[in-house]
Order: sequence, then structure tokens, then C-alpha cells
Amino acid sequence: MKRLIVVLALGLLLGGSVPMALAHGGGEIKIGKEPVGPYKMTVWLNPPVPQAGETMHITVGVLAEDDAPLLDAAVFMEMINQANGEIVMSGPATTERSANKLFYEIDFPAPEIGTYEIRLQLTRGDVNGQVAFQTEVETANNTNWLVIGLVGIGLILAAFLYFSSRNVDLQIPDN
Amino acid sequence: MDPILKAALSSWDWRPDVIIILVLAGTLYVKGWRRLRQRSNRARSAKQTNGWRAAAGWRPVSYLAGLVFVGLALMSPLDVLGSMLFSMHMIQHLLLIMIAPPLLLIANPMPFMLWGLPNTWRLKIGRGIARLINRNAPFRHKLRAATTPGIVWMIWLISIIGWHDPNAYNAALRSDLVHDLEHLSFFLGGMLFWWHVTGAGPRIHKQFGLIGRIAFALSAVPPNMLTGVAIAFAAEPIYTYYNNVPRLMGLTVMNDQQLGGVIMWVPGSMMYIIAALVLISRLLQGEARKPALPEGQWSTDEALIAPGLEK
Repeated sequence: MKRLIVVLALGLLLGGSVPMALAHGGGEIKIGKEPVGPYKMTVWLNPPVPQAGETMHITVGVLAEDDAPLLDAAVFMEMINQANGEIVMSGPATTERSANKLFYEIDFPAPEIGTYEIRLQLTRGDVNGQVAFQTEVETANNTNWLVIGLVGIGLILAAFLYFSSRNVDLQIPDN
Repeated sequence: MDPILKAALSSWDWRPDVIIILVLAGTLYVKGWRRLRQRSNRARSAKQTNGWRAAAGWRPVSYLAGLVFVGLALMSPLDVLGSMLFSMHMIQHLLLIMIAPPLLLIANPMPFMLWGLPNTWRLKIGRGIARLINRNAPFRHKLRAATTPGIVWMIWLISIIGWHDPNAYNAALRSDLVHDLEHLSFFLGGMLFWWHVTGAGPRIHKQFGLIGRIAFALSAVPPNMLTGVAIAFAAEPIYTYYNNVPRLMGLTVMNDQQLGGVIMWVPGSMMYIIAALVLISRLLQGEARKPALPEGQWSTDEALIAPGLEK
């Protein structure tokens, strides 16, 4: 039992450290149903303002003529530094990488601070087109507010329990 | 199989944090239930009890079913497709607020989970809990004051109505953290609400009779129904996040919103009515078990003319 608890606790810690972006997609909408040939593309970026070194998560929805999801297209991402025109990151966004198999997704580490353009190229048969948006990459801020918040709540709870249970004669309830 | 349907059904989000918590909770409960079952069997064979069994066989079934519903709500295509269909999101919320909590709580998890711990831990934690919730403990009084039926009802109401505000709802779809917070508040609000309805331990509140519990369960119906009706009959899309996502099953944004509203309105309200009906049947069974009045009391002329008047 002890071993089981240790394994589960370690697993919980590891589980908690999985980047949020991998879990659900989401993020801020950067492009909403923009036409590309007969299709439309919607693009989300998570986090909305990435920090250098942080995992960036791009989710792409490709809509067919009837707005149903289109699953057999190819989506390729390029991230271009606006200062020098250099491609700093590129790769395919695929449905295999995503939790929601109806979206195309790609994860990559955010490059150094600066202004970037993210281009998403859609290819399906003869149709070839792209959408693009700009994003800033900010300085890495190592403050983990989630952990600080959780520790704070834990401390408040512990103090509450401590002061609530002080100087109490132990009596087992009879009901 | 249709490739879109196949892709939708294969959209599982295997979250290690959720899996570990569910496995840990299930393991503790089943282990504790088995230990208490063995003790109960020994007591029965020694004729120390009158046939009553604390560790009845339906309890782990109910508890594990509750955990399965939590898992389905948080990791199955219901969760993943909730970002595309409002109606899926409503089914997910229904599982977290109205299905999983009563299933978990009617299994009375606290004693079984304590008995699932190793002996030294059980004794330490058991003593700690006893110290916190014994009759004189300030913690018990504060907890009781903070979880009266009225306050719990308000918490439940705020979580239901608050998260259906378009800004809060859209924020939950944009951020995983806010989304998890939404689900956590739904689940905790549901657990608190059903704690009063089911009467599960720890029993720190003044005895809440069956009639009170029936009224409490039914008190959830009007706000739930009104929210569902308001969503179902809205003239335009309330949750604009869905305007830009691919559409599934030919459902337009408005069709999907209407379906989601109806899900909240009808099956959502139905769960509270079913709970009230179960409690009413228990109330009636209790009445049926009462011994009949002696003939001398009901056969007098006064009683037969107007029963109850003679009292």
C-alpha cells in the first residue's frame, strides 16, 4: 500500500507538471473563419502572449464549404522574425498531435523576445492558400502564479485547521 | 464509419492528474469497503448484529460508477467536443453536477475511504477528523455555519448561473485553467448540494428530515429550468466562441444552443425530480412500516365523521 501511495503521489506530481497547453487546445482566437479558397480557417494561439522558452500551442480548425470539419488537408506552420525576415520555427500542424482529432495542432517552444508573424499554409488538392497573424514574444517570467496560489490556499487552510482545532478536548461524536 | 464521427469518438484526453486522483479514490474506497465487509461478516457470524450490513454490495458499484462518470466528463470526447458543441458541454456539466455527486455520496465514502488507508494512517487521520468535527470543535461550528442548506443552495446557484454568463463561459473555453476551475466549482457545488440531499457523512448538520431533503432537492428545479429556458429561447448566439468553430452533425450555432438549453432544462431538472421521488418513496415506505392504529382509536363516531378532528 505504501508503495502504491508513493507511486501515485509521484505520478500526481508528474501529471501536474504536464504543460496545460497539451491538454485541451483553447487559447485566444487569432483568425476567425478566414476564407482560403473554398474553405475557411480558424486559428487559436495558447498562451495568447507567449514568453520566451514557453511552449506555444497553435490550434487550427479547417472548415469545409458546409462548415463541417475538413480532416484530410495539410497544414504547415512557419514563424517568421519580423526584424530580419528569418524563419525561426516551422513544422506541420496535424490532427494526430491534438486531443481533439477534428483540429490540427502544433506545439513548439517560443523563440527569443520579439515580434513574429505566424503563417499557416493550407494545402488540399489544387487548393493552396495561407493565413497569417502577428504575435509578440515577451520576456520569460519565471513566477508560477498557479503554484504560488495553491501554496497560499494550502497555508490558509492549514492555519485555519490549526487554530480551529487548538485547545479542544477530544470527544468522539456519538451519532 | 464516417471519418468525422471516427475522429470525434477517438478524441480522448488522457489526463494523468485526473486518472491518478480517480484511481486513488477508487482504490481507497474498494479496499476500505472490503475490510469493513469482512468485519461486518465476522460480526454477523458472531451474531453481534441483527443482519444489518454497513458494507452493502451496491455501495462500491455506486461509488465506482460516480468515478467513471467523472472520468467520462473530464477525459472522454464529451470534454474535447465541448469546445465545438455547446450541447456536449451541457451534457458534461450535467454529469459533473447532477450524476456523479449523488452516486459518489450515496455510497457514503468517508468511512470507507478511511478504512482503505493503512492502519497507522487511518488512526492518525481518523483522530484528526474526530478532533475537527467533534461536538465542541470550533472547526465543526464554522464548517456547519458555512455549509447550511441556504448557503449551499446559494453556492450552487452562483456556480450554475455565474458560469453560464457569456464572458465567464467564453473565458473557460479560451483557458484550460479557467475551464478546470469551472469544472471544479461545478463538481464541488454539486457535492455540497447533494451532501444535504443524500445525508452522507460527515453528519455535522442538524438532522435534515426527509421532507426537508425533498424540498431542498426540488428547490434546484426552478433556477435550473429558467436558465435552460433562457438559453433555449435566446434569439441569437449567446456564446460567441462557437461562431468560429467547425460545425458537427449539421447543427448550426443556434440549433446547438437550443439543444444545449433543452438538455439543461429537461434532463437537468429531471435529475432533481427523480431524487425527490426517491426520497418521497422512502418517506412513504417509512409510513407503511408504522404499526396500524388500534381499532379503538379510529373507529369512534368522531373519528369516522372527521378523521383527526378528535385530536
